[in-house]
Amino acid sequence: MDNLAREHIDINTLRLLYTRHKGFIAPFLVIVVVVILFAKITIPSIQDLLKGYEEQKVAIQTLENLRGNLNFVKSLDNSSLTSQFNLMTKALPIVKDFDSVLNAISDSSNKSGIAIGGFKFVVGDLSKEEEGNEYPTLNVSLSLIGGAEAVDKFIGSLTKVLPLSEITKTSSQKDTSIVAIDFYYKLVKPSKNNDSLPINPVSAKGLSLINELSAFSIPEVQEVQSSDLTPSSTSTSFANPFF
Amino acid sequence: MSNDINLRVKRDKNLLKEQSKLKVFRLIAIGALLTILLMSLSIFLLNQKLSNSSADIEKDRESVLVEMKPFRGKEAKIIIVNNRIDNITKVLNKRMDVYKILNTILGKIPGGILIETLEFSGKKISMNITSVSLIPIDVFFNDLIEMAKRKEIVKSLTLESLDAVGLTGSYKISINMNI
Repeated sequence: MDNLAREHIDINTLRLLYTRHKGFIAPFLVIVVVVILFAKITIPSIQDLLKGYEEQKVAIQTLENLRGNLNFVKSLDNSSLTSQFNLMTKALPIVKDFDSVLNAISDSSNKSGIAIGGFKFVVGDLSKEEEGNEYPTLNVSLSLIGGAEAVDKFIGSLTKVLPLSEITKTSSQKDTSIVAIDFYYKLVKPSKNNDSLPINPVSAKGLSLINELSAFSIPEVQEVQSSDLTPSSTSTSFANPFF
Repeated sequence: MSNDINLRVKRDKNLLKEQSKLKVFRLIAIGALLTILLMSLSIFLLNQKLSNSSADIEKDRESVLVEMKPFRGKEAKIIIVNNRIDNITKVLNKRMDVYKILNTILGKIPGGILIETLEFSGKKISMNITSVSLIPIDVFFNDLIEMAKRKEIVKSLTLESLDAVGLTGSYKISINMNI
């Protein structure tokens, strides 16, 4: 009996509350819907819009760079650029260029008048750069006819020849010497999205380096034969025991 | 007559209060609805404008890329030249000028000294020399000591041995240098 009375009271109370506040329900629902719309649609739309503006800024920058690059590249003198390109890729080849290395050795031998008794060439994988090495090299071990002075002469000639090299070891006896040389090379890694970056002209330092390197000799690429490694000016006293 | 005992008046007052609350509530709801509508419209218009200008930029980019096509070779060359300059500079800064080192040391050797062996590896040079007289050996050794003092190429110098070879009447010395 008590329960029934309470239920009646509750229903009545609810009815009363509904009748009293029914005017609030519609605006309340509108506000709830507005809040949901704001949170679920408006805020993400604003974020997308801001992201769009950022992307547009990048696109404008890229376009400006592209225009700048186009004007710059148009203004470049092709023949001078080609000669710079040839010089620099001879100095530091973009591949394991063992032809150039052999020519450099042959040229140095001819210029210094020091005969080469033999050589060992460590080429390795022609298609791969040495992993983890910032300065990859081609290693050549030469046997020279002559002592320390011959090594000095030969190295003297080699330092003025491209590609760039470094002597890592020499061992001279009275009449024979062994010289280990590292010839540098460096692959060009393809870069992503190049258009977004401005192309810089060759710096003043770069130009002076180009001038410095243009004084070096670049032996013509030719078929190196075993006899080329014996200096032409040498007499029988420098006769190569290998050939 | 007191309002407290007049229930009709009190009820009217409460009703007015309720109505004014409802009015404010309705105004807030309409205001919020209008605000969100305006915001949505603005975002839509801004998006339209943004996509139009993005399309223009893309069109411009395409046309510049088409114009750039014949110059791609030149572009690649200048990029490689700059790349080589950077790498060559690094190599030149890193590599040891062995020719200068050997040439300087050999240049200090006076006449009358014969180089038996000369070894260079890493940062070490070792050499064996012979001479029939101690004078040129002394001159050479003093020069090397001076160089070591000035830290010019030679950082430290060790005289490993000095032998007098009785049969040939010559002197043989063995030197180690750290460079």
